[in-house]
Amino acid sequence: MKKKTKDTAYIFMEKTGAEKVVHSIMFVIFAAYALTLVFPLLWLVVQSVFPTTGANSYEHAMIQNGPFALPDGLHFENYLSALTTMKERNVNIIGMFMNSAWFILIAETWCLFWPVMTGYIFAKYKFKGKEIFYSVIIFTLTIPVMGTMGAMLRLVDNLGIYDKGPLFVIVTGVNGFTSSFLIYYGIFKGLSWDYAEAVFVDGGGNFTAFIRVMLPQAMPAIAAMMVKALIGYWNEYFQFLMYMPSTPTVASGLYKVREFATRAGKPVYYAGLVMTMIPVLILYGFMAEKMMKNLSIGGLKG
Amino acid sequence: MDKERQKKPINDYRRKQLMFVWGWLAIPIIAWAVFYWYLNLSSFVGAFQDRDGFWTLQNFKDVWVDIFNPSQFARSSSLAVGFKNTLSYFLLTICVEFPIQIVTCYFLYKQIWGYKFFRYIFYLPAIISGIVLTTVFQAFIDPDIGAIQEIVKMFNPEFQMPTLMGSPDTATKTIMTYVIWTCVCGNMLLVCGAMNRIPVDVLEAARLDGIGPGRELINIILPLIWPTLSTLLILTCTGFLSASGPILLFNTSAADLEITTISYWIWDKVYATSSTGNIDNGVNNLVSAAGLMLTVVAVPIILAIRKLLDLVPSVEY
Repeated sequence: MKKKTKDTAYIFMEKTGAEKVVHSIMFVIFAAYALTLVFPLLWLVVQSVFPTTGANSYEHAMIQNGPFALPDGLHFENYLSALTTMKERNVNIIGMFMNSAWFILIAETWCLFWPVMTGYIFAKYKFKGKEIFYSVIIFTLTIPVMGTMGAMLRLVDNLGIYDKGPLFVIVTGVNGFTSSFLIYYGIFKGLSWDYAEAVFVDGGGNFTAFIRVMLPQAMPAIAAMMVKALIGYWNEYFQFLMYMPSTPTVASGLYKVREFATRAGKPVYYAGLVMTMIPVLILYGFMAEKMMKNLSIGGLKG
Repeated sequence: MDKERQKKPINDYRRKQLMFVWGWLAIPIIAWAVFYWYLNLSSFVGAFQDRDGFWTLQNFKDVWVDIFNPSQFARSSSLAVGFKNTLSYFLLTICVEFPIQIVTCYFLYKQIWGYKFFRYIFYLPAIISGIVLTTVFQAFIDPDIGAIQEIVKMFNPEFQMPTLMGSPDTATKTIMTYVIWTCVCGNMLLVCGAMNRIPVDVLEAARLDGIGPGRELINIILPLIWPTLSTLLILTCTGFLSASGPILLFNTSAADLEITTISYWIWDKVYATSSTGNIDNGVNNLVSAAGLMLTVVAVPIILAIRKLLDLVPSVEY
């Protein structure tokens, strides 16, 4: 084991002449690209603390000194102003944060549970019609169906869940056959069934085997998926604009209050944007390593 | 009857397994039946109905006219332009985004200097809300006080930044530039994950044979991660009619007609009526008809692409 680690380090760390040249060029390209990603975000943070009025206001500074002007002080009151005055359908940013919070809570538990369960069952159990069922699922996942948005709107309206917030997410979230089904299927397919057999020998049931043995083994990969999904849920705006307009989240709310930037001043709007970045960046800081390590996807063949 | 039972005995262990399987599959299957099969059926039927529920082919005629004769069919946006732009975004994904993602992941996998830092930074566009990124991007390309103009002016004082998003000629190209700027993070986790699972012994053997980085990527890495790549390609091809940039997030008005894509066209139609609080079956059925026509066109293409991708042998390791 020790030897393999040493070998792994050797092959990656001791570079050949050609590799050194190529890596040097790529390093410069990567560094330049990284700068284009980081600099605009830092710029946004700086703009968010400009005063909105007076001789040193954002507008004056931009006209006189250009986009790289610096503020005369740190006007954190913009953040307070953004928190209390930026509103969509009478929901301020705190309310939007709350809406994002419940949405993420339901989505990360209820909505993620179903593809995990269906992926597990299809990967580990034999039952009548499984192969046909699996083929149909793959078929539906690989066939592009367009234009159902109008029908979906009609369906959710008929089901009485249009603009019903959590109820909409709970009802539509029981979706066990999305593309993430394939990922969970791949994860469980790669796990040994022996431990589950041991649970059965000890008198445990199928659900016990799933919860106590199989799920913990798959947890690193599932956790990576959960973090990835969480980021998607945090940035989700489409569903809220279309199906839950009265429940603005941070993402959908900020989209809707864009004109606020012209009313209250860009620094206040930018302060609102910066606030939306903070929670995900903190979470990403803690989870980045885990996310990068544990994700793979199963093939579509078969 | 007794003999049959003796032939296929269902013992307690098997019975519990089946109860577990079907017990947990029941709810997702019902949801699937409603939100996939019923939804698609409803959309299909709706395509042949007018807003009052009477059978008609008018929706298809309207879509046909819109695609092939947009100037005679006054609408806020044309499907013909949408189709052209959608194809452009799809080709951008396949021909530009995928290669960029693969090459980036390769160098991250080969532990380029500072690879942990780069990996962290490159994934930022996936973490940060698109609204934040598009706002910053638009601020940077602003013709009056944009940072890009200021930077270019350092080298060329006469430079005047054009109004990129206001012009039909440049709006889609501008959004495409944004897409390229933020594309590295797309599929990064899966592609890097696939590369990380490649046995090091293979690379060692290649090193001993004296192959360079280019051949290592093309002849060794790509075949070994092909199952992941082909799956991603199939999923991308499956959604090729949905290919689009974040048009909704860009503040567009003057160039609306020229930047539309199929998915944006659909969104625009449905959202325009739903945001008024009324569900307009006429518009929804028109969208369904357009979707049905496009699906009929897309399915054979997708199946052909899938067959082609299946022809590439995958390597077991």
